[in-house]
Amino acid sequence: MKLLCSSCDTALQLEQAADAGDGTLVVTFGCPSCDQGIHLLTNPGETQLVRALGVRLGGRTTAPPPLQGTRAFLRHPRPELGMPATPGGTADREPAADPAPEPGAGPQSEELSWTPEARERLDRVPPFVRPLVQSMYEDYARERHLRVISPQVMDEARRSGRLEGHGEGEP
Amino acid sequence: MGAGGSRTPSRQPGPPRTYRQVVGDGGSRILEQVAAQRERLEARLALVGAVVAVASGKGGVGKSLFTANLAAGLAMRGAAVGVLDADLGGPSISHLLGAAPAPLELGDRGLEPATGAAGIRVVGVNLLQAGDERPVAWQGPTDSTAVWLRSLESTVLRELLTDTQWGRLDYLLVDTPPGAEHLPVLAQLLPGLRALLIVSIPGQLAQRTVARSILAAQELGLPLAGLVENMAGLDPDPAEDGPSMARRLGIPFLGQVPFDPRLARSAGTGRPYVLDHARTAAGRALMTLVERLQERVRGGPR
Repeated sequence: MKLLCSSCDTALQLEQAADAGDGTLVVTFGCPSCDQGIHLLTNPGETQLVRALGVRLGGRTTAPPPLQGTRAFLRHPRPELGMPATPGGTADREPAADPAPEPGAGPQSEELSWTPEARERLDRVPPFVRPLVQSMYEDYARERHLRVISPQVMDEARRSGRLEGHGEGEP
Repeated sequence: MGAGGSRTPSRQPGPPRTYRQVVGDGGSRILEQVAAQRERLEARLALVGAVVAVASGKGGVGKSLFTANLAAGLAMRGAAVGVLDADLGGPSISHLLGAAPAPLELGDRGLEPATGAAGIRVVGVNLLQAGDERPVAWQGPTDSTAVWLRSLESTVLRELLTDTQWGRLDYLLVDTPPGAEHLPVLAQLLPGLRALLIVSIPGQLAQRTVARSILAAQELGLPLAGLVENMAGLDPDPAEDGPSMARRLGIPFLGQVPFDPRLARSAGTGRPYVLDHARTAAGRALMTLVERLQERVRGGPR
């Protein structure tokens, strides 16, 4: 599935997929061109379908643990397999909360500063995903040895696709 | 599914671009993960000489019992053999091979398979769950089971194949569940499948049902190694025997296993019949089938 911005015809990019804790997901997409955004709210069946495929929205950096899906979904697993206890499994779920710090907080943020305009733009991101989006911009800036995050840097990050971390090419 | 915008957009004039006109995957990276799943599966099976599936399309033809004896016959001829019980709803291979549900070992590199008669390595979903007689059941939202269950079954099979430490095997046999509908999953999971054996029994009803699986396998381009007629002689005057059926459907006829009550009774012993009765008619027939399978696998494309 792909989402197009109805304002500027740009493909929306996945910014965050978060477990709502009730068997549903909140998947946030943003427009790299005009700052439009949507939250996609999946129902339990859709959530389960994605998990049953053994994939994680937004990708993963390491291979999943062995038999992850089998262990998570088997109703009566043998205890030595370390099965998750909750329906659908807790292993490898999308993060429920953002671990990233607020702007200006934490040791890594000391080396970076945000211009007031950039901060204002960041504040328009829904609070729910703001820390994650912030950390993505900061990672982008650090990789390029930038000390100040301005709206221009934010635009570059979005255009680069690095913000979402997805590859190019037709799937 | 629901969606909410952060503000009211002004729409672009004209029709939007279509799926294939938009480059990229929107950041979901799902296809990338599916490709990685396939690579991990291929890496695991790189140590397996040949993956051979046994299917039928019809329940009750003795397919799993045949698979267990095929595995044992291969082991008797010196092959290292593993069996994946792909029948998630009614797994039985571990019982037929006498693989006791010892404490399982699951490490970072995967699951250590159970060991059955003749050193055959076996994995089935029943070995992963508590309570041997419990039905295999999956947990999820009860109001939408049909939406995800088939996807989950495919994932479980892929994981059992990928995440089992099979080691170096000459043959990995896959005992598939009854029903032609499982063959597309097999084709997708195992593009490197070397041979597919189809098991039938005398009788028009069984043959008609099995024929559907043969046609489905042909449509999918699966490597049909041949038809095996199990319980041959059960019907002394069949409307169509196994060789005729194979000719009609255009596949090789691999051989017959004569009906033998001792063979059926062996199912409860945890020891494949052929191991101790290789000189009986049924035992000789099974060993002949083993040899023919090996010939076909050796002669087929690698």
